[in-house]
Amino acid sequence: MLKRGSQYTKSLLVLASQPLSLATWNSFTNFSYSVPPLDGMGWFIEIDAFGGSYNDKRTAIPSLPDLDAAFNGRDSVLLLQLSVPLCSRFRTNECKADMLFPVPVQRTQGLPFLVACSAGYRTGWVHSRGVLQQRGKRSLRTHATLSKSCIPTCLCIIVLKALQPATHGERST
Amino acid sequence: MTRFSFDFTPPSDPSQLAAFLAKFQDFAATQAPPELGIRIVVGGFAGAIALYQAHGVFYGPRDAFEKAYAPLAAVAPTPLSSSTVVELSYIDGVRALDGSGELNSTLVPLAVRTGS
Repeated sequence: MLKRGSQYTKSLLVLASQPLSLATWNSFTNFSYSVPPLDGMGWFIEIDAFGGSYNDKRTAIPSLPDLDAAFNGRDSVLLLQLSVPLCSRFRTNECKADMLFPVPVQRTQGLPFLVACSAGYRTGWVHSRGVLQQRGKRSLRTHATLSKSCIPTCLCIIVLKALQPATHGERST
Repeated sequence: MTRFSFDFTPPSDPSQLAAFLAKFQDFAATQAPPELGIRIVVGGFAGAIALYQAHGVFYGPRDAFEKAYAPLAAVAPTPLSSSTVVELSYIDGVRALDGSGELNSTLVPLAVRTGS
């Protein structure tokens, strides 16, 4: 049972006509390899082959023009889905939905990445004793504070920065 | 239907992964047959890349899948740490994709049918 927690997901479509360059992929992986520890939270990116052509013939998804169906991303070649499960793993019985990475958690690592993003946090959540809790229930003195509204924004900005060299070729969903 | 899942050891050099992803993009654009559904997953935990895998389904027999996947397998930067390739019936393949093993074909929502 997931008692408390949330998940942020962002999807990007890469147009077949404007694929990501090798420089962009390098920027993206350099970013991925430099994400600091998130204090018990993992992140993942799913990259789906999407459309394209085969034997010089368009496959089913892009075979229809964009304006002939409700979904206008048919001319894409990749679908990138970026996700951060915002749930502690310490109380595993409460967080089974987010048990994605069977790696021991180091509580002392803190949340530098998220703290760096949370300069403008408003009413947020505190990551305390391994459980996301509403502010005011525990001391904030030694714990990182993160904001529900900040994390998605910051992650999105960072990922988009990583992808920036080919931003014109992406479509956000 | 052929269900496949490959786990790779994450390369230590980000540029190796970048080169593979660029090749995956090329593969998706022109070399992946319409019968192939494939996803690359990259994940991080505790400041390191902890997950790097390819999985999906091929709507056809195993030997045809291996032929279709070969161009991508040839450019994988690191060796496999584990792999699963199994031929399944269509229905069993759908069940495997769902992950729960249950398949509701009654037109009644599963939660209602089971009372859960």
